[in-house]
Amino acid sequence: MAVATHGTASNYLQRAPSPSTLADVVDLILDKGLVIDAYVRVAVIGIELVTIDARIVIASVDTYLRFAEAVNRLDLTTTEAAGLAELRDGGGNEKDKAKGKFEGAKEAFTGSGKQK
Amino acid sequence: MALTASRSGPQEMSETSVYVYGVTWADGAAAPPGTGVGGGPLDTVERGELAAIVSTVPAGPIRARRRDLLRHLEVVQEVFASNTVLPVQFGSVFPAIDVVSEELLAQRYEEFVELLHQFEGLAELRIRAAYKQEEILAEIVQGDCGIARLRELTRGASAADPRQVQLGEAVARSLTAVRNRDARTISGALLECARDAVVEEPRTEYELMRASYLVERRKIAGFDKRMDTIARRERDRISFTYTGPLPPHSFVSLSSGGG
Repeated sequence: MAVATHGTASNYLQRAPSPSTLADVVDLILDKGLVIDAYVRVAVIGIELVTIDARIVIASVDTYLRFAEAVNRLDLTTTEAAGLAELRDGGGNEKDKAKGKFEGAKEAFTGSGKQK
Repeated sequence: MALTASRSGPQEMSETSVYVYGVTWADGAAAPPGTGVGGGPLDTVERGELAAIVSTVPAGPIRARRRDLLRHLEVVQEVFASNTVLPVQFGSVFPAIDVVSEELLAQRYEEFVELLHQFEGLAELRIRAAYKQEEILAEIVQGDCGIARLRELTRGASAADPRQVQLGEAVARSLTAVRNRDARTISGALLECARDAVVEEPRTEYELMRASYLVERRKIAGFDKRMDTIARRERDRISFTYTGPLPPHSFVSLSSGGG
Protein backbone atom coordinates (compact mmCIF):
# COMPACT_ATOMS: atom_id res chain seq x y z
CA MET A 1 0.00 0.00 0.00
CA ALA A 2 1.18 3.48 -0.77
CA VAL A 3 2.18 5.64 2.14
CA ALA A 4 -0.06 8.63 2.67
CA THR A 5 2.42 11.44 2.78
CA HIS A 6 0.08 14.28 1.88
CA GLY A 7 2.24 15.51 -0.88
CA THR A 8 4.11 14.98 -4.02
CA ALA A 9 7.39 13.43 -4.94
CA SER A 10 9.02 16.73 -4.07
CA ASN A 11 8.65 15.91 -0.38
CA TYR A 12 12.14 15.48 0.96
CA LEU A 13 11.34 13.29 3.95
CA GLN A 14 8.82 10.46 3.70
CA ARG A 15 6.79 9.56 6.74
CA ALA A 16 6.49 5.81 7.30
CA PRO A 17 3.17 4.56 8.71
CA SER A 18 4.86 2.25 11.19
CA PRO A 19 8.38 1.55 12.50
CA SER A 20 10.63 -0.13 9.97
CA THR A 21 13.09 -1.93 12.23
CA LEU A 22 12.48 -4.46 14.96
CA ALA A 23 14.43 -2.30 17.42
CA ASP A 24 12.00 0.55 16.76
CA VAL A 25 9.01 -1.76 17.24
CA VAL A 26 10.41 -2.96 20.54
CA ASP A 27 11.14 0.60 21.54
CA LEU A 28 7.50 1.47 21.00
CA ILE A 29 5.61 -1.49 22.46
CA LEU A 30 7.91 -2.71 25.23
CA ASP A 31 9.20 0.55 26.64
CA LYS A 32 5.93 2.44 26.19
CA GLY A 33 2.17 1.99 26.36
CA LEU A 34 -0.07 1.45 29.35
CA VAL A 35 1.51 -0.61 32.07
CA ILE A 36 -1.38 -2.40 33.71
CA ASP A 37 -1.45 -4.68 36.67
CA ALA A 38 -1.55 -7.77 34.56
CA TYR A 39 -1.25 -11.22 36.02
CA VAL A 40 1.61 -12.13 33.78
CA ARG A 41 4.15 -9.46 33.29
CA VAL A 42 6.07 -10.50 30.25
CA ALA A 43 8.61 -13.11 30.90
CA VAL A 44 9.78 -12.02 27.52
CA ILE A 45 12.37 -14.30 26.11
CA GLY A 46 14.81 -13.27 23.44
CA ILE A 47 14.41 -9.54 23.76
CA GLU A 48 17.99 -8.88 24.79
CA LEU A 49 19.00 -9.64 21.24
CA VAL A 50 16.96 -6.91 19.66
CA THR A 51 17.35 -4.23 22.27
CA ILE A 52 21.10 -4.16 22.19
CA ASP A 53 20.89 -0.59 21.23
CA ALA A 54 23.58 -0.06 23.80
CA ARG A 55 23.15 3.20 25.53
CA ILE A 56 26.51 4.78 25.11
CA VAL A 57 28.13 6.67 27.91
CA ILE A 58 29.49 9.70 26.12
CA ALA A 59 31.91 10.60 28.90
CA SER A 60 34.21 7.59 28.83
CA VAL A 61 37.77 7.05 27.71
CA ASP A 62 36.55 4.41 25.25
CA THR A 63 34.27 6.89 23.58
CA TYR A 64 36.99 9.52 23.52
CA LEU A 65 39.37 7.15 21.79
CA ARG A 66 36.73 6.25 19.24
CA PHE A 67 36.12 9.93 18.52
CA ALA A 68 39.86 10.58 18.21
CA GLU A 69 40.25 7.70 15.80
CA ALA A 70 37.27 8.79 13.70
CA VAL A 71 38.51 12.35 13.56
CA ASN A 72 42.01 11.23 12.61
CA ARG A 73 40.58 9.09 9.82
CA LEU A 74 38.73 12.03 8.28
CA ASP A 75 39.88 13.18 4.89
CA LEU A 76 39.32 16.89 4.94
CA THR A 77 41.31 17.80 1.84
CA THR A 78 38.29 17.91 -0.44
CA THR A 79 36.02 19.80 1.89
CA GLU A 80 38.57 22.06 3.53
CA ALA A 81 38.37 25.02 1.16
CA ALA A 82 34.60 25.18 0.83
CA GLY A 83 33.98 23.97 4.32
CA LEU A 84 35.94 26.59 6.21
CA ALA A 85 34.22 29.56 4.64
CA GLU A 86 30.82 27.95 4.98
CA LEU A 87 31.35 27.00 8.58
CA ARG A 88 32.47 30.42 9.57
CA ASP A 89 29.12 31.77 8.39
CA GLY A 90 27.11 28.89 9.71
CA GLY A 91 28.81 28.96 13.11
CA GLY A 92 25.48 28.70 14.81
CA ASN A 93 24.21 32.14 15.65
CA GLU A 94 20.45 32.36 15.65
CA LYS A 95 20.17 34.86 12.81
CA ASP A 96 21.93 32.51 10.45
CA LYS A 97 19.75 29.66 11.60
CA ALA A 98 16.60 31.59 10.82
CA LYS A 99 18.00 32.60 7.46
CA GLY A 100 18.78 28.98 6.71
CA LYS A 101 15.25 28.02 7.50
CA PHE A 102 13.78 30.50 5.05
CA GLU A 103 16.17 29.49 2.35
CA GLY A 104 15.21 25.89 2.97
CA ALA A 105 11.57 26.76 2.58
CA LYS A 106 12.25 28.70 -0.59
CA GLU A 107 14.10 25.78 -2.04
CA ALA A 108 11.17 23.56 -1.28
CA PHE A 109 9.03 25.62 -3.61
CA THR A 110 11.52 26.21 -6.37
CA GLY A 111 12.60 22.62 -6.71
CA SER A 112 16.10 21.23 -6.67
CA GLY A 113 18.90 23.60 -5.82
CA LYS A 114 21.30 24.78 -8.49
CA GLN A 115 24.94 23.85 -8.48
CA LYS A 116 27.21 26.80 -7.95
CA MET B 1 -19.09 -10.54 18.55
CA ALA B 2 -17.96 -9.38 21.88
CA LEU B 3 -17.37 -11.67 24.77
CA THR B 4 -18.74 -10.42 28.04
CA ALA B 5 -18.11 -11.69 31.49
CA SER B 6 -21.54 -13.26 31.77
CA ARG B 7 -21.13 -15.14 28.53
CA SER B 8 -17.64 -16.40 29.09
CA GLY B 9 -17.60 -20.12 29.42
CA PRO B 10 -16.13 -22.25 32.13
CA GLN B 11 -12.59 -21.18 32.86
CA GLU B 12 -9.75 -23.37 31.96
CA MET B 13 -7.26 -21.28 33.81
CA SER B 14 -4.32 -23.50 33.38
CA GLU B 15 -4.74 -23.95 29.62
CA THR B 16 -5.04 -20.47 28.20
CA SER B 17 -4.70 -16.81 29.14
CA VAL B 18 -6.07 -13.59 27.69
CA TYR B 19 -3.64 -11.22 26.03
CA VAL B 20 -4.61 -7.53 26.01
CA TYR B 21 -3.60 -5.14 23.19
CA GLY B 22 -5.41 -1.98 24.08
CA VAL B 23 -8.51 -0.28 25.43
CA THR B 24 -10.92 1.49 23.11
CA TRP B 25 -14.53 2.71 22.85
CA ALA B 26 -17.00 -0.18 22.68
CA ASP B 27 -18.99 1.85 20.15
CA GLY B 28 -17.42 0.90 16.84
CA ALA B 29 -14.96 -1.51 18.40
CA ALA B 30 -14.27 -4.53 16.29
CA ALA B 31 -11.50 -7.02 16.66
CA PRO B 32 -9.25 -6.89 13.60
CA PRO B 33 -9.52 -9.93 11.37
CA GLY B 34 -6.97 -12.71 11.67
CA THR B 35 -5.05 -14.02 14.62
CA GLY B 36 -3.11 -12.33 17.36
CA VAL B 37 0.10 -12.87 19.31
CA GLY B 38 0.79 -16.58 19.49
CA GLY B 39 -1.83 -17.41 16.83
CA GLY B 40 -5.09 -17.25 18.82
CA PRO B 41 -8.20 -15.50 17.42
CA LEU B 42 -8.74 -11.81 18.20
CA ASP B 43 -11.81 -10.63 20.06
CA THR B 44 -13.19 -7.83 22.19
CA VAL B 45 -14.23 -7.76 25.84
CA GLU B 46 -16.83 -5.06 26.44
CA ARG B 47 -17.88 -3.29 29.59
CA GLY B 48 -20.16 -0.27 29.35
CA GLU B 49 -18.63 2.22 26.97
CA LEU B 50 -15.28 0.44 26.99
CA ALA B 51 -13.82 -2.46 25.06
CA ALA B 52 -10.52 -4.27 25.43
CA ILE B 53 -8.98 -5.82 22.34
CA VAL B 54 -7.82 -9.29 23.31
CA SER B 55 -6.77 -12.69 22.04
CA THR B 56 -6.29 -16.10 23.55
CA VAL B 57 -2.74 -17.20 24.25
CA PRO B 58 -1.36 -20.37 25.78
CA ALA B 59 -0.77 -19.95 29.51
CA GLY B 60 2.82 -19.28 30.50
CA PRO B 61 5.47 -16.79 29.56
CA ILE B 62 5.19 -14.89 26.31
CA ARG B 63 7.99 -15.34 23.83
CA ALA B 64 8.83 -12.10 22.16
CA ARG B 65 9.19 -13.55 18.72
CA ARG B 66 9.61 -11.19 15.83
CA ARG B 67 6.22 -11.94 14.32
CA ASP B 68 4.46 -11.54 17.66
CA LEU B 69 6.04 -8.14 18.29
CA LEU B 70 5.00 -7.04 14.82
CA ARG B 71 1.52 -8.50 15.23
CA HIS B 72 0.95 -6.68 18.54
CA LEU B 73 1.80 -3.39 16.85
CA GLU B 74 -0.36 -4.17 13.79
CA VAL B 75 -3.41 -5.02 15.89
CA VAL B 76 -3.18 -1.75 17.79
CA GLN B 77 -2.63 0.15 14.54
CA GLU B 78 -5.67 -1.45 12.92
CA VAL B 79 -7.91 -0.47 15.81
CA PHE B 80 -6.40 3.01 15.76
CA ALA B 81 -7.34 3.45 12.09
CA SER B 82 -11.01 3.83 13.03
CA ASN B 83 -11.19 4.41 16.78
CA THR B 84 -9.38 6.06 19.67
CA VAL B 85 -7.18 3.50 21.39
CA LEU B 86 -5.00 3.37 24.48
CA PRO B 87 -2.14 1.00 23.61
CA VAL B 88 -1.11 -1.48 26.28
CA GLN B 89 2.48 -2.61 26.75
CA PHE B 90 3.51 -5.82 24.97
CA GLY B 91 3.05 -8.98 27.02
CA SER B 92 0.17 -8.03 29.33
CA VAL B 93 -1.78 -11.18 30.08
CA PHE B 94 -4.83 -11.95 32.25
CA PRO B 95 -5.99 -15.38 33.39
CA ALA B 96 -9.50 -15.15 31.90
CA ILE B 97 -12.03 -12.99 30.06
CA ASP B 98 -14.01 -12.09 33.18
CA VAL B 99 -10.83 -10.95 34.89
CA VAL B 100 -10.22 -8.50 32.04
CA SER B 101 -13.75 -7.22 32.48
CA GLU B 102 -13.86 -7.11 36.27
CA GLU B 103 -10.35 -6.24 37.22
CA LEU B 104 -9.09 -4.20 34.29
CA LEU B 105 -12.06 -2.41 32.74
CA ALA B 106 -14.28 -2.09 35.83
CA GLN B 107 -11.57 -1.06 38.25
CA ARG B 108 -10.09 1.60 35.99
CA TYR B 109 -13.34 2.52 34.27
CA GLU B 110 -13.44 6.28 34.94
CA GLU B 111 -9.76 6.66 34.21
CA PHE B 112 -9.98 4.87 30.85
CA VAL B 113 -12.99 6.96 29.82
CA GLU B 114 -11.14 10.13 30.69
CA LEU B 115 -8.02 9.04 28.81
CA LEU B 116 -10.02 8.07 25.72
CA HIS B 117 -11.61 11.52 25.69
CA GLN B 118 -8.22 13.10 26.19
CA PHE B 119 -6.65 11.33 23.18
CA GLU B 120 -9.65 11.67 20.87
CA GLY B 121 -8.47 12.79 17.43
CA LEU B 122 -4.79 12.79 18.43
CA ALA B 123 -1.87 10.84 17.02
CA GLU B 124 1.76 10.27 17.92
CA LEU B 125 4.41 11.20 15.36
CA ARG B 126 7.84 9.85 16.14
CA ILE B 127 11.19 11.22 15.10
CA ARG B 128 14.72 9.94 15.31
CA ALA B 129 17.58 12.06 14.13
CA ALA B 130 21.24 11.16 13.84
CA TYR B 131 24.23 13.06 12.60
CA LYS B 132 26.01 11.85 9.50
CA GLN B 133 29.28 10.89 11.14
CA GLU B 134 31.85 12.26 8.72
CA GLU B 135 29.96 15.45 8.07
CA ILE B 136 29.49 16.34 11.72
CA LEU B 137 33.08 15.47 12.61
CA ALA B 138 34.38 17.60 9.75
CA GLU B 139 32.17 20.42 10.96
CA ILE B 140 33.59 20.10 14.46
CA VAL B 141 37.22 19.96 13.35
CA GLN B 142 36.82 22.88 10.99
CA GLY B 143 34.89 24.93 13.48
CA ASP B 144 37.42 24.67 16.31
CA CYS B 145 41.08 25.62 15.86
CA GLY B 146 42.08 23.82 19.05
CA ILE B 147 40.61 20.54 17.84
CA ALA B 148 42.09 21.00 14.36
CA ARG B 149 45.55 21.56 15.87
CA LEU B 150 45.28 18.57 18.21
CA ARG B 151 44.23 16.45 15.27
CA GLU B 152 47.31 17.44 13.29
CA LEU B 153 49.50 16.60 16.30
CA THR B 154 47.98 13.18 16.89
CA ARG B 155 47.47 11.93 13.36
CA GLY B 156 50.65 9.95 13.29
CA ALA B 157 50.69 9.23 17.00
CA SER B 158 49.86 5.90 18.57
CA ALA B 159 46.55 5.15 20.25
CA ALA B 160 48.40 5.16 23.58
CA ASP B 161 49.36 8.80 23.20
CA PRO B 162 47.51 10.69 25.96
CA ARG B 163 46.76 13.45 23.50
CA GLN B 164 44.34 11.07 21.75
CA VAL B 165 42.11 11.06 24.81
CA GLN B 166 42.43 14.81 25.00
CA LEU B 167 41.37 15.11 21.36
CA GLY B 168 38.44 12.73 21.80
CA GLU B 169 37.29 14.55 24.88
CA ALA B 170 37.34 17.87 23.06
CA VAL B 171 35.37 16.36 20.18
CA ALA B 172 32.83 14.87 22.61
CA ARG B 173 32.41 18.23 24.33
CA SER B 174 31.95 20.01 21.06
CA LEU B 175 29.50 17.38 19.78
CA THR B 176 27.42 17.72 22.94
CA ALA B 177 27.23 21.47 22.45
CA VAL B 178 26.25 21.12 18.79
CA ARG B 179 23.71 18.45 19.67
CA ASN B 180 22.09 20.53 22.40
CA ARG B 181 21.82 23.51 20.10
CA ASP B 182 20.39 21.52 17.17
CA ALA B 183 17.99 19.53 19.35
CA ARG B 184 16.67 22.71 20.92
CA THR B 185 16.13 24.35 17.53
CA ILE B 186 14.48 21.32 15.94
CA SER B 187 12.25 20.31 18.82
CA GLY B 188 11.23 23.92 19.36
CA ALA B 189 10.15 24.25 15.74
CA LEU B 190 8.21 20.97 15.90
CA LEU B 191 6.53 21.71 19.20
CA GLU B 192 4.90 24.74 17.61
CA CYS B 193 2.89 22.26 15.51
CA ALA B 194 2.08 19.83 18.33
CA ARG B 195 0.03 19.55 21.52
CA ASP B 196 2.71 17.83 23.53
CA ALA B 197 6.12 16.20 23.20
CA VAL B 198 8.23 13.55 24.85
CA VAL B 199 11.93 13.98 24.18
CA GLU B 200 14.17 11.06 25.13
CA GLU B 201 17.89 10.93 25.78
CA PRO B 202 20.00 10.09 22.74
CA ARG B 203 21.27 6.52 22.92
CA THR B 204 24.23 6.42 20.62
CA GLU B 205 27.21 8.64 20.00
CA TYR B 206 25.88 10.25 16.87
CA GLU B 207 22.19 10.26 17.74
CA LEU B 208 20.84 13.76 18.03
CA MET B 209 17.29 13.29 19.16
CA ARG B 210 14.60 10.71 19.72
CA ALA B 211 11.22 12.24 20.34
CA SER B 212 7.49 11.83 19.96
CA TYR B 213 4.97 14.56 19.25
CA LEU B 214 1.27 14.47 19.99
CA VAL B 215 -0.52 16.03 17.04
CA GLU B 216 -4.15 16.51 16.07
CA ARG B 217 -4.82 14.09 13.24
CA ARG B 218 -6.26 16.82 11.05
CA LYS B 219 -3.11 18.87 11.52
CA ILE B 220 -0.65 16.17 10.52
CA ALA B 221 -0.15 17.74 7.08
CA GLY B 222 1.10 20.90 8.76
CA PHE B 223 3.50 18.94 10.93
CA ASP B 224 4.71 17.06 7.83
CA LYS B 225 5.48 20.33 6.16
CA ARG B 226 7.45 21.64 9.12
CA MET B 227 9.34 18.34 9.38
CA ASP B 228 10.09 18.38 5.67
CA THR B 229 11.51 21.90 5.86
CA ILE B 230 13.80 20.89 8.72
CA ALA B 231 14.99 17.70 7.03
CA ARG B 232 15.70 19.56 3.82
CA ARG B 233 17.61 22.31 5.59
CA GLU B 234 19.72 19.78 7.53
CA ARG B 235 20.10 17.18 4.78
CA ASP B 236 23.88 17.46 4.54
CA ARG B 237 24.51 16.67 8.20
CA ILE B 238 21.47 14.96 9.77
CA SER B 239 19.41 11.97 8.72
CA PHE B 240 15.87 11.59 10.00
CA THR B 241 13.45 8.73 10.54
CA TYR B 242 9.86 9.90 10.67
CA THR B 243 7.05 7.56 11.68
CA GLY B 244 3.31 7.82 12.21
CA PRO B 245 0.51 8.44 12.74
CA LEU B 246 0.69 6.02 15.67
CA PRO B 247 -1.59 5.54 18.67
CA PRO B 248 -0.27 7.56 21.63
CA HIS B 249 2.20 4.92 22.92
CA SER B 250 4.53 7.50 24.45
CA PHE B 251 1.83 9.62 26.06
CA VAL B 252 -0.47 7.19 27.86
CA SER B 253 -0.03 6.29 31.48
CA LEU B 254 -2.20 5.19 34.37
CA SER B 255 -2.14 6.61 37.86
CA SER B 256 -0.33 4.34 40.26
CA GLY B 257 -2.32 2.05 42.51
CA GLY B 258 -5.93 1.17 41.76
CA GLY B 259 -5.01 -2.36 40.73
